[in-house]
Amino acid sequence: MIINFILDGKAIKEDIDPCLRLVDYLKLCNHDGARYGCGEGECGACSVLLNGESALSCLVLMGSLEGKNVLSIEGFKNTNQYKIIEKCFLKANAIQCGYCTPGMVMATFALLLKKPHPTKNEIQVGLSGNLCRCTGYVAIRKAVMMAGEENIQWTLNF
Amino acid sequence: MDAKFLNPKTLEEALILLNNEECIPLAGGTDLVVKNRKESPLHPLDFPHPLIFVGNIKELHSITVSDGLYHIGACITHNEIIDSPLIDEDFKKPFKDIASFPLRNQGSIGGNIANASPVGDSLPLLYVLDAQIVLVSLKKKRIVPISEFIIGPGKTIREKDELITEILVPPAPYSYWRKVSQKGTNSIGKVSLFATRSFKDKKLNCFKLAAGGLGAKVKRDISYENHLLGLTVEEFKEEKEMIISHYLSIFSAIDDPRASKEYKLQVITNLLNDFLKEE
Repeated sequence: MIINFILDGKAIKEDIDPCLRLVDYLKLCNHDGARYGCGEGECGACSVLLNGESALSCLVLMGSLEGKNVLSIEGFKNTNQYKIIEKCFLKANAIQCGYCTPGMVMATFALLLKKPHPTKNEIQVGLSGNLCRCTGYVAIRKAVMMAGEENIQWTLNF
Repeated sequence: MDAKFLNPKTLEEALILLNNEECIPLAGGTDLVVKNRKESPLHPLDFPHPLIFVGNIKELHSITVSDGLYHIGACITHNEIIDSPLIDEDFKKPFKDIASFPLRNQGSIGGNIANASPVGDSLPLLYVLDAQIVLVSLKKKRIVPISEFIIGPGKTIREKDELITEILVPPAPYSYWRKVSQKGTNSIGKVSLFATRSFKDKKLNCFKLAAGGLGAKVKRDISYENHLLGLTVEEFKEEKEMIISHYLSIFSAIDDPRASKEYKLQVITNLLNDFLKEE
């Protein structure tokens, strides 16, 4: 099935099996940031932005992407906004094994787009779909807090 | 269009496709995609019938209020309900307890109903409020109460050519909601209770209560609710133990992988106590 969608700012027109999941598609085109963790929408390691909202790519079938806009961490990592989140994660020691980190970063960006200065509770809700198997939640929350203190207009236009 | 994945843009187009062949409606995919996943990633999933993706049908994406009822489109996501200024705060409580933030961006109210899980988080609320499910096919439209729509775990009376288009449901002011699960909202619920009561002129004029997770279906006893109406505030307080023992006598629970029946009955006793003690 020919599917037209936008991936990381680029228009894609490709003959894809509509029942392939987005997380699998990303892997097959060497976008390795989104991890296949649980495969059932529990862990958030495969988080991407779908039309600007946080989404779990293991639950999205390619056929449903017609006309949609997908942002993976590969598309986000070269932006200034990413650099700010990265800096905060490094400063707060918010990374241990790193498995959950791409998903955490994408969930953080999705949260900051809606709530540029999130409260502790808003962070808890915004990142509620992302598990850290090293249980580094305190440091991760601190990193998001720090990103929320930055004076920046978080935007999808880059 | 690929034969195994149909992508209609309008309701009419969808109904024509459903009239032609049996399809599985796909909305957010939060249950359907998980159920049909394979052991090994990187391969397309297989489904027993073609999928019909309803997420692009504009008619299914609105929330309006008329005649005192919310008209909630089947594809409205849990987060859209939570963010809607039209919907009252108590109504939103169960939706805030559904899974995690990104999953609430994807899952829909229509999907939660059609999935007919015994632990569907929105179901006790919809039972208490006597929600009406609007089913439309090319030939007819019918409106069915949720208690008749769901007939068992994963089973509904939706016919193959029908689509849930919207849910008609009144607001839920002054309502009680608790979901008990392993780890907050993220885990599948073990037991849940949605209930509401109110007094007018010091007499009970509304009492409705539904429990989820105990058995195959959400449980509610409407004739008992009606029997309680008219009690004074004092009588109601005195009846508390009787009310709890009545519900325990009709609530049979079954063991499931998440909890034993003994555990469930203890939890529901605690929740009933909690609800009845609230001023």
